[in-house]
Amino acid sequence: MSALSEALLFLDLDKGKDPLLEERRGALISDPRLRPGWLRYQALQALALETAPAPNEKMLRAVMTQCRREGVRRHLSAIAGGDELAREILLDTGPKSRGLAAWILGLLLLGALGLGWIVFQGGRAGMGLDTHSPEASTALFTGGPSGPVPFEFPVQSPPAEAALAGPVDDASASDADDVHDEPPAARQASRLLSDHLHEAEAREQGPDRDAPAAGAEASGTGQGSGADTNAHTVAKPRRAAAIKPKPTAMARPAPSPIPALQAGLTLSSDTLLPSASSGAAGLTPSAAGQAQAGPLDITVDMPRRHDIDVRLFTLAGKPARILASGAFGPGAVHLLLDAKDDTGTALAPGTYYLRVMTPWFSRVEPIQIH
Amino acid sequence: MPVYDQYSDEQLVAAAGDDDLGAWEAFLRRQGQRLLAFYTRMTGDEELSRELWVRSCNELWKQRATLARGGKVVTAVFSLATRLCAKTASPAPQRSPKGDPSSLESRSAGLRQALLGIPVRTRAALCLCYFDNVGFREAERCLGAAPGEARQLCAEGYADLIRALGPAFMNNGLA
Repeated sequence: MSALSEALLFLDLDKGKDPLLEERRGALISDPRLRPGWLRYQALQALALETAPAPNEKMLRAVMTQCRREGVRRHLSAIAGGDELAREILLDTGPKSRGLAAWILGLLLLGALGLGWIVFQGGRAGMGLDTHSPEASTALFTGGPSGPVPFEFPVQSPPAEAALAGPVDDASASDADDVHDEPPAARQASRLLSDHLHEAEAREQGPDRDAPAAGAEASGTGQGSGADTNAHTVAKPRRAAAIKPKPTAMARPAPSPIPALQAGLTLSSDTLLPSASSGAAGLTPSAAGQAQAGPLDITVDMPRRHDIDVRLFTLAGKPARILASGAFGPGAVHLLLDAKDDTGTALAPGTYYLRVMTPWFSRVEPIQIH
Repeated sequence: MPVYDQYSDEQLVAAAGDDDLGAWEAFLRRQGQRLLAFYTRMTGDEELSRELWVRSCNELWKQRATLARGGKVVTAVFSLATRLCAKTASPAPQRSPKGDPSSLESRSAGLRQALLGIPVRTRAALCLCYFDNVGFREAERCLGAAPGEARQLCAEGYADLIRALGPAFMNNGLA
């Protein structure tokens, strides 16, 4: 019998499943020609098995560590949307990325703390609102003087009008608002402008700033002063934005000193629209954001009666017109702004700023008077 | 981890597919030695075998979701191992260790050296079917061979091995 035939025979005897194999194996052992080969076959198997190396615990631990990291990386990739960040966080790429990962984790921690603080403050003031979408029209005010007050923001605008909403003017809101499409410099400019307005008002108004407005005709449903057709133009803002109520103002029972306003104020050379028609309390233009001639109809929705302050300022920060100063509401407060100052004198053509302050929000809008 | 002992390889790998690291560790403990021994016989180099073992374990972990699809897990494991060995260049045959030729170490080294003289595909069939007790069909899947080819390759490999070892090796402690 050749070596190959013998090998085939042994393999069949070893691996076959024939029930007669046991009998044949017994016959092989008794056959003096095949017995040595069969024993050698078994002995080599035993030798190989006996001397087979086994993975040690260190190897196993290393593999398990790799597997664990790969699993975490897979989840991280799914969350972060990419392998790179996950790899860096998992310190796969050496000491340099280890430092970077530490920074990233630190920043994430700081961000979480900041977010928690904002949520905490918002919860205290009852302003945990997201007014970006028209659907977000209902909120629960919990920080008012009389406890929780269900409040439904007026949603009067169709989506097209919402798209024409004016810029955000709230400091805390604008920082977290992802609707902003202005560069940071624009926001900083708005912030500086607001500060400038506040300082100018503090200088020039003095103690009688809360006096009733002389030239403003405002009431719960009041109308403004007489129309001066073609005196100024009201038109669309530059971009869509949402209004977020100011949490700090909500906590106060009365209008506080002007908070630092910031928003993406746009110095519009042609048109302007103080529109807050994105579903939150705010200003509503009479012409739904379209350019119009004649007085500007400003609507301030008040959830309940409270002091508000609506004024027009020159570019230099000098008050040009007091539209409303006192308690109004509840309901829609309609104010008409024409191109005249408090004494009835026509305002010079140019850019002015309209500031609206309520306990729930503050806002500054540029207005162009032709 | 005795809790995993009652489960089959397929069940352990299925659990590993759900990120059960304990099940995966149990599977590695169960099949790890077999896999490492296969690498050692195929390469003749223990260091290289450990490296291949770690690499294949990591690769298998990545493929754990599809590992048991369409057959036995062991088949998939040895398929990967066979591919890795085919890609790895075989090291030069090593010299037999000095000392007592009938010692276990000497005979083991002689066996590995004789194996290295066998062609890779034949050696893989021999290691799978003869040493690692993998069935012919599974070995054919691992090798990508035609039906009956694994049996033939294994027999040829065994005959080559006996020839390479020579009668002296067999007389040193064997029958």
